[in-house]
Amino acid sequence: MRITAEGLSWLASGTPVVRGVGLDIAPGETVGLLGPNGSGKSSLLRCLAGLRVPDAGTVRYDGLPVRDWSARRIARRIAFVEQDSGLDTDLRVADVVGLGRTPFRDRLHGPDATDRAVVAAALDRVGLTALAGRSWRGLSGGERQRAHIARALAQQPYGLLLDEPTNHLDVRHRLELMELLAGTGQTVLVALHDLTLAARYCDRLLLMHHGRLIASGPPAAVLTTEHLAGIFEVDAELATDALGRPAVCYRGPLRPAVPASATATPPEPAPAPAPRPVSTLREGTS
Amino acid sequence: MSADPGTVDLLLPAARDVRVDGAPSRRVRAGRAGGPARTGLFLAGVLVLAVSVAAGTRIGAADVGWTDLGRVLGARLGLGTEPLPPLLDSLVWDLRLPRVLMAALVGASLAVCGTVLQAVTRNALADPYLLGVSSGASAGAVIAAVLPLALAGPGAGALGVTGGALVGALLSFGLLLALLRRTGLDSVRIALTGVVVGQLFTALTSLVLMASADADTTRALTHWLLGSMAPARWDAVAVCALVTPLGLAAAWLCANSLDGLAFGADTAASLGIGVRRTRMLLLVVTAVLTSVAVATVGAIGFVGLIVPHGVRLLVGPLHRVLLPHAALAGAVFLVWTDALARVAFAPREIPVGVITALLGVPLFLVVLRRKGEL
Amino acid sequence: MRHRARPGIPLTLALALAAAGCSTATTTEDRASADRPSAAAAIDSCGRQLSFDRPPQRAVALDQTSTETLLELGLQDRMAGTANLKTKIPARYQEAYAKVPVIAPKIATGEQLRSAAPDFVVAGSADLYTKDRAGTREELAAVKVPAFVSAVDCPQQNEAGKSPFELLFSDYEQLGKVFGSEQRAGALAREQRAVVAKAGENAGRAAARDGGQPTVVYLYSVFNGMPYVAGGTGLPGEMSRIVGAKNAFDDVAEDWPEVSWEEVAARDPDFIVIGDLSERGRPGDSAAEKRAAMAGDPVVSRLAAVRENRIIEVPGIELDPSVRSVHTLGLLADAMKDLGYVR
Repeated sequence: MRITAEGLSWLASGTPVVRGVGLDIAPGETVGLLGPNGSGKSSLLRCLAGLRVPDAGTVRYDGLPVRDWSARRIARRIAFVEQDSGLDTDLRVADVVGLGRTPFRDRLHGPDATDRAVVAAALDRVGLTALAGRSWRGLSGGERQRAHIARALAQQPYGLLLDEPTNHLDVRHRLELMELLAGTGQTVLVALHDLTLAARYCDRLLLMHHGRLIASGPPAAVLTTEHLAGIFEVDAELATDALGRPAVCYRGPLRPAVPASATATPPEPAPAPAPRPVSTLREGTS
Repeated sequence: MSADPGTVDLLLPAARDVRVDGAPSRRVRAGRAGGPARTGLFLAGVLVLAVSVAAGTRIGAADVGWTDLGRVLGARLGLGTEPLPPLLDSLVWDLRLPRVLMAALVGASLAVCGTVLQAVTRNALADPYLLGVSSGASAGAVIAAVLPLALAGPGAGALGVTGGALVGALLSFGLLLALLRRTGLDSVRIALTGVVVGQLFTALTSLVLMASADADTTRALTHWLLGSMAPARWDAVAVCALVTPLGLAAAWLCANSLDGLAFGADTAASLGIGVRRTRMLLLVVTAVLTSVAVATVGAIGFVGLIVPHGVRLLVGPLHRVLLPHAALAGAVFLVWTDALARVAFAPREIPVGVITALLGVPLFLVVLRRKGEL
Repeated sequence: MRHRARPGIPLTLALALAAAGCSTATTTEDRASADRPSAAAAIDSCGRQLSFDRPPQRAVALDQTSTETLLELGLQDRMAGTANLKTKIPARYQEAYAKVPVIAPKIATGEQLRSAAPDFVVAGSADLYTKDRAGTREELAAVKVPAFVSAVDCPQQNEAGKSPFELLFSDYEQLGKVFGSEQRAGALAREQRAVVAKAGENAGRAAARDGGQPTVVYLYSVFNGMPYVAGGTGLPGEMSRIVGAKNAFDDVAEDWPEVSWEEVAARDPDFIVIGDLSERGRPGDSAAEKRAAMAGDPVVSRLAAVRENRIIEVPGIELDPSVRSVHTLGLLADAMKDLGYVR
């Protein structure tokens, strides 16, 4: 499924969060969506998933504008996984994955044999078969995240939109998850914080900053030291892994200015009281 | 993490037309009663309810034997049995039977409303009165009781209170909707607005009670506010028998959507659920069910809070299964608590709301403990 | 407190009672028609036409005033139950009262009433006939049980300005007609009318020390430290008029309004009537407690009526309309004389 957007803008109570984004994701492509906190990744994903009505612009699936589509029609095309809400519910893991069958069921019917088989396949795919009967509240953060992925897979989607799905996952599960997403053969747009992971598994990366899409292209074209410094505000150098993909090696957060007393570096003009997180300043002075 | 070799990958859109027959994977089904067992449980519940209604009809100021019950029903349904003496017949047919049926209907209605609102607001403490409907009903009832309307004639008083309560309940719900309009109807906002509306109408009730200062009216209304099945008659049963099944059916048709709401509006919407529409429909359904119940028998507490939790413990949280069982359990619970209210302190009869609270508090603690939350 | 009614009347008994109550047309037993044999009667009670093929044999009184009225008329043998006792039954009715079952110590429910298999129901107040209490009068009519409401609690039926005492007397006469006890009821009405007339004998000569009409405050009860006094709509206002005094709170349109001690002091009554409710036995109900409350209030204790002990104690229950009310009216008339308010 091809996902396209033109001039997409979305305001949150008057403040622009997504500004004039245009994108085109080809069928079967795995695309990573990068950007620092607050850059508009989550909102863009929600606009693309039909969960927010854009204030301007159009979202198309395979060329068809989705603006007037029902939630059900969208749900039969695309699956969406948000960051884990961490809610305690009494639902079993299999029940949660079974929610993915909702778009295919009418009001009068419960799960049938097909639904159960799909759920079993989805659980198997994310390695949670053993936990199928377990209550949701007993799961670890990583297990919950995988269950959500399984729920999305149970939607048999043409496209997957995921908001930081690797949160809470250990290294092995991160790699497995990314392998799984890239291997579905479906269109995947995944917001990620782990730049190296994104570069390793995505065909293409999109980079957002202040609501705008400022770069799009193969990993090596998007992950540049300029972007790392200018947008992520980190001091890093780029290596190349065995597959020829960029890997990020961090030196530390970018220090715009350091008090003279703290280090032996040459004195610079006194730093302006920049609106920077306190923790960053502390790290800078230690 | 690999698909079974040699079969279609069920997780691809291409597999949507694939139909799987026969027994599903046992591993997935493990852990909770499956289809046939559940059907058995439901049928057992129906049986228990039927027995409870019959047994409940026997309990009260006058003991009514099975044969007497048979004679009353036989005579009333035209089966040609010899009727009981008129007053005893009236006791059973005019008072006891509608009261027991009313208890069953109201119990089912409150339990389902509680279940629905707990899911819609994602709040385990939600009960049918969360929307402020009961406060609206009280205010309406109090105003109707002190207005000259109540003096229009003998008998008009009681009708005035019921009518006033219904109008008050619907007005408070109207205010709730007005305050919620143009919002996304998100869970927290529904709960908070409900509390605010409830407080407003509670204050109104207090004001009217203070201003009217008629001790007898106050006492009568206190009785009503606690919830009592005593005023139930066939006319009220007829209204409930019409409204309750419709409401329960509407709620049951939203069962799949209610499950989807567990993870919040965005996930629910991404599953194809029209979140706002579903929430609105369910708010209207619960408000109407609760209003009808409260207008007739007052705000009976705890049924709508405790029964959903207890039943969830028994049959799990999936609403397709939970809702019908909650309805049954609520009906059985209120039939028996009302029977207890009639005889526990005989010859004095106490409001059933007192009994539900007395039983509800310890039951609630037991449920919380079982869930490991206390 | 133990009461005689049992939690559930066994069905056999209820059946027997019901049979007795409902097949009376063929019953020859006629225990208490002191005046004359049975006859059909029809009366109008607060908007409803009540008709009787024969005098009731199983009357139920839903409250204490109705109970006492029926007992005063000597109808205990034709009563199937009483309910809703507010305070003690006076000694002179005790023996008769003991013969009648108590169907409910408090307000009777529809089930309790029907279990008693009544053929007539009497209430001092229309409030007792609601769906959550004894059931509506319409419902009772449907099962052929006439439901009587005292004329005293039926404002929509009363001619304006009719004295509550006259309304009480009309109750006696109506009930006499229903039970076929016209002679006894007529005698009672005549007797009480005479008491009222006698109490009013000196009304024209009543005067306070300043020459005006003597004013009086009726202290009914003290609850949470606040006094409840007689307002303008209750019986005490009428009692005052009869004996030539004026109820100081006649302007408040309630039976027993809650007022403040300051307001009592401001009205500065010539004398004070204390309702003794000690039989009821709640805090603040006894006459002694009410005296103490007045003595303890910094302003009220300085009122002339309190300092000079111009205080009359009467049985509090008799300040509400009942067959016993004329007793207090007599006490009041005598006290007016004793306190020197009659020239």
